[in-house]
Amino acid sequence: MSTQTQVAIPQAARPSPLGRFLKGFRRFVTKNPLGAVGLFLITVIVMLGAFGPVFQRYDPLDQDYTFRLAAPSMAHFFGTDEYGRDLWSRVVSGASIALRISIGAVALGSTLGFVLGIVSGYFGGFVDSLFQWVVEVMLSIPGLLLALAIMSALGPGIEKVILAISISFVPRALRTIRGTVLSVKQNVYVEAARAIGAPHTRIMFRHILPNVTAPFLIIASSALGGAILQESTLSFLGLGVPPPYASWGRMLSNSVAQYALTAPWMVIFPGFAITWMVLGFNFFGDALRDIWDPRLRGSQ
Amino acid sequence: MTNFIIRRLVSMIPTLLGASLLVFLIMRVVPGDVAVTMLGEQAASDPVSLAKLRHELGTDRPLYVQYVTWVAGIVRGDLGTSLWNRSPVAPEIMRRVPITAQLAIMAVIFGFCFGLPLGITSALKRGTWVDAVARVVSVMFLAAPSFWIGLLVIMFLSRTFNWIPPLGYHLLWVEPGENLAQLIFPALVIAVQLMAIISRMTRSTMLEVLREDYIRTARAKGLSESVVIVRHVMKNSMIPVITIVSLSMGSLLAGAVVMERTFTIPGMGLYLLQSITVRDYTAVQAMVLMMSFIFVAINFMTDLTYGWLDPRISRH
Repeated sequence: MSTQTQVAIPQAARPSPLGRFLKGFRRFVTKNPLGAVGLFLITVIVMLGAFGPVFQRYDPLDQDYTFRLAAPSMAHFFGTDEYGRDLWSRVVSGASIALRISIGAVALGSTLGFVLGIVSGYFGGFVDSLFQWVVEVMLSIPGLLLALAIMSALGPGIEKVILAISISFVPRALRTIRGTVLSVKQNVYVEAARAIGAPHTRIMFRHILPNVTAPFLIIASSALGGAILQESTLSFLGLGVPPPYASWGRMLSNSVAQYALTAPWMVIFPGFAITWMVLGFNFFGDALRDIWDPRLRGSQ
Repeated sequence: MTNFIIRRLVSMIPTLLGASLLVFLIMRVVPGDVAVTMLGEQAASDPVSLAKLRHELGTDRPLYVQYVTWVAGIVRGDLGTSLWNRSPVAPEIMRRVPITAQLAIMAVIFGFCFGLPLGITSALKRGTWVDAVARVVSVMFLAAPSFWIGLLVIMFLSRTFNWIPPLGYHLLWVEPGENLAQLIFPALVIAVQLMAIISRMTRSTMLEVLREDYIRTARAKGLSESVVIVRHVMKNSMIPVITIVSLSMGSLLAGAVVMERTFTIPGMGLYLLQSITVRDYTAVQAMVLMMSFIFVAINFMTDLTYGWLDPRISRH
C-alpha cells in the first residue's frame, strides 16, 4: 500500500491587494516625487470636477449686483466678477469642463492615431506612405491654427471644440506608434504567427497591440497638458466653449481686461487654475514616461 | 550640396499641396451656404440674386474646380478676394507680415539670449540650486497659458508705471521708440516660453555631450574648461536645440496670434481672428495657408542649415 502523505507546505501570507497597491504607491512617491506632486494636483482638479456642486458656495451663475467686483474675502474666496458672481464657484465649475474636454480630445485623437499607426506600420508599402504624407501635411499646419480654422468652419459647440483639439494629436500619435510597430514587427513571434496562417487582424490585436500600449499611454498622458492649454486658448479667443458652460479661458478673455486693473483677482485665479492643471498633467506624464521608457527622458 | 537643396525642395511640394487641400476642405465644411449667410434670409429667397452671388463667389462650380482655381491663383500670387470688403486678401496680408515677423524675430532673439545661457548654466551646475531653480522656472512658464502671462504683465505695468498698450502700429525705422514699446512685451512673453524649451533642450543635450569620449580627450589634452565648452561641447549640442526651435516655430506663430489679441497688435494674427469673427472664409483660408507656408519654409531652411553644419546629413 503506497502511503502518500501530503505535507502541508506553509504558505507565506500573501499581502492583500490593498497592501500591494499601497506599497507600489509608496514606491512611486519616493522614486518620483514630482510625479506624486502631479498626481496630487490632478486629484484636486478631479475632485472639483466630479463633486463641483459640493465645493461651490454659490451658484456660479448667480448674479448679485450689490457685491460686484468685490475683493477676495471669507465670504467670497476668490472675489466676485463684474456681475457679482462668486469667482471661486465659477473656477470650481470650470474644472469639470476642462477635464471633459481635455480627456475627450486626447482620447479621441490619440486613439485614432494609435489605430492608424498600427495599421500604417503593420501593412507598410503604399498605405504606409500615404499615412506618412497625411502626417507630414497635418504637422505642417500649427495645431492652434488648425483648431481655429475648424472652429471657424463648424461654429461654436462643445463637441466641436473636442474635435478641433483632438485633430492635432493624431499625427504625433500615429508617427510614434508606427515607429514602435516597425520594431515590434521584427520579433520572431510575429513571423511565427504569420507562418501558421494567423489573419492580419489577429496578429495586430494579439501580438502588436500589447507591446504598443505603453508608448500610447505615455503619449496620451503627455498630451493632456497641451489639450487644456489649447482649450483655454480657444476660449480666450472667443472660439471655445460657449456659455453657459464655464471655461477658465473665457473668464480671462478680453472683456475682462478692462476690469483687470480694479479687480486683478479676476485675472489671477482662473489663469492659476489652468496652470495648476497643466502642471499636474505634465508632472504626472513625465513620471509615467520615466517609469515606462527611461530612454525618452531628456527629449520631448 | 545643390542636389540636397533640390531634393528637399521637391519633397516640400506634396506637403504644401496637401496642406492647401486640407485647409480648403476644412473651410468647405461650413454648414449652410456662404451666399445665403451673406445675403441674409430675406434677400436669399430671391433666386436671381442668390445665383448671382454664388456665381461671383464661385461656389456654383464643382468642388475640385474651385480647389484648382484657388491653387492656380495662389501660384500667381492671388490669395482670393475678401468676403468682407471685396478687396484682394494678398495686399492686406503683405501689409501685416512685417509686424508679425518683427514680433517673431524679437521673440526668437530674446528666447535664445535667455534660454541658451540658462541651459548651459543648468547643465554645468547640474544638481545645484541654480539648476533646480532654472528647471522649476522653465516648467512654470511652459505650464502657464501665454495670454495669462501677457495679461499679468499688462496689469503689472499699468499699476506700477501707468502704462497702457499703445494702439496702432508704428514702423521700426520711422518711430523706433513707439514701435519697440508696443512689441517688446508681447515678444518677451513669447520669448519666456521659448526660453523654457531652449534651456531644457540645451541642458539635456549638453549633459549627453559632456559624457562623450572626445570631451575627455580634450580635457586630457590640457585645454582649459572654457575652450572645451565653447569649441567642442557647444557646437555638438546645437543641432538638437535648433531642431526643437524649428519645430517650435509652429507654436510660435500660434503664440503670435494670441499675443496680438492680448496686446492689440495689428498683425497677421489679429487679421485672422477678425476674419473668423466676420466669417470672411476666403481670408481665413488664405491666412492659415500663409502661416503654414511660413512654417514649412522655416523648417526647410533649418534642414538646409543642418546640411551645411553636419556634412553627414547632406551626403545621403
